[in-house]
Amino acid sequence: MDSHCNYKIFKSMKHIKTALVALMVVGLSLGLAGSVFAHEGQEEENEKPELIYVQPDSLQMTRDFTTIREEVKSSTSLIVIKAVALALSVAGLVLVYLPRKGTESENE
Amino acid sequence: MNSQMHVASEQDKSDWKISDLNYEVPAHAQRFGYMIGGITVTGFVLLFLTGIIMAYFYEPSVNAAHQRVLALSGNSWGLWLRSFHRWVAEAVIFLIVLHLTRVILTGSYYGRRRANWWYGVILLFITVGFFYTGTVIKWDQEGYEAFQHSLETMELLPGGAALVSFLKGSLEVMRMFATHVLVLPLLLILFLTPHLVLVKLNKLSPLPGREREGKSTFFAHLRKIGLFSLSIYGFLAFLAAQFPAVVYPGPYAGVEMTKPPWPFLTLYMLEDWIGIKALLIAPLIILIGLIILPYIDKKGNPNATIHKVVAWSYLAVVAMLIFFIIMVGITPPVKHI
Repeated sequence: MDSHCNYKIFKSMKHIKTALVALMVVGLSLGLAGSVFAHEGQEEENEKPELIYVQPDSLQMTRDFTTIREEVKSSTSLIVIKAVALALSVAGLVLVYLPRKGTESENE
Repeated sequence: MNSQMHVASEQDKSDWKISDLNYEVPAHAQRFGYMIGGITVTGFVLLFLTGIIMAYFYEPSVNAAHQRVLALSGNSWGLWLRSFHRWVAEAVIFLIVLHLTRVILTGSYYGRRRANWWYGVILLFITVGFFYTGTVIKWDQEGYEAFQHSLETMELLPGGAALVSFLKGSLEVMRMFATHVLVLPLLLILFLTPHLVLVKLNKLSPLPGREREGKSTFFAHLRKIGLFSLSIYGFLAFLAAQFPAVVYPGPYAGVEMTKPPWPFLTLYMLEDWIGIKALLIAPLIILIGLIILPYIDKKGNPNATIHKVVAWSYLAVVAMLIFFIIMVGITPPVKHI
């Protein structure tokens, strides 16, 4: 079924590969930029109307999200999570590109 | 005959070994482009796990949902867990688009792969459904506005009024939550299972430009998927701790003060131009376009002119969507409904 394709065009069309890489880079940047820009200024509002639903007293949070975020920003747990997460991320990447004994020939 | 029976009997006696799964795969299975699907599945597993934990701290009611989400965020581990769930959800959307891009550029949707392409298209829409319902159930201003937009859109559908009256009301958060944690996961399993089975049955789609190449093994493929996943989701775990997912105040009635998450920003821009019907028309055009794609480019042969037209048209559409997303991202929010 696949033999009818000789795919010669792809041998010379390096730009397809470049386009894919560019898409990945743009997409990743987009994810980051989008999450920063998309919500910018949304918390600054003129005046807030009444809440639609009455929240039970037992559940009333006295702090909003901005306050909560400030409070937990420097918590030890988050610092530990950041360190471990970065270490795992780098370790994963290193292991992907670290040559394995006896597998080099089969992968290429 | 007797010897055949003897062989069969010997096979029956031998136990299945884990190494039986370590079958041969083409060497290009080790390339990143051919692992995106696997990395996405890992993302879904992480979403299931984090979602299950969060469900223990959530209350799907209009009065309490928002406060429960805030309460969970008040704890540093809870804040990280919720943020990680959100970051992975965004990554899964991005990875699916990347997977789709690879499949389109390599023309891997022709012949016997056509059915699997359609399963993939359905899975894309199911994932968007997950993202949408997940946004709604945190029940802040962003979620509330997303819900109102979908109600307005549903009313445009034949029989939509009945659907709206079912969803709207004191149980609206409950119904969105049920969709998020019961209906959509069921649909995901229902369509992901044949999608994966068909990858195995059809074998990995060919790598253009490589008629003859070496072999690798399925376990080596899985190992690399695992390592890429560790790297990607590890980095997202860091981002979740550094940039926690926001919970907006609210919900407040009669105001429209938020913009949707980035996967929906294009719809937001189209809504600016042609009104609420854009939320119905645009996804419908994308759905129809993706469904008929294997009929436009019947052979998926990268040498064919039609394939080049399809590939470059797709890249042009993606570039346009990225432009829209950035444009809306940097402009202030506007009121639509």
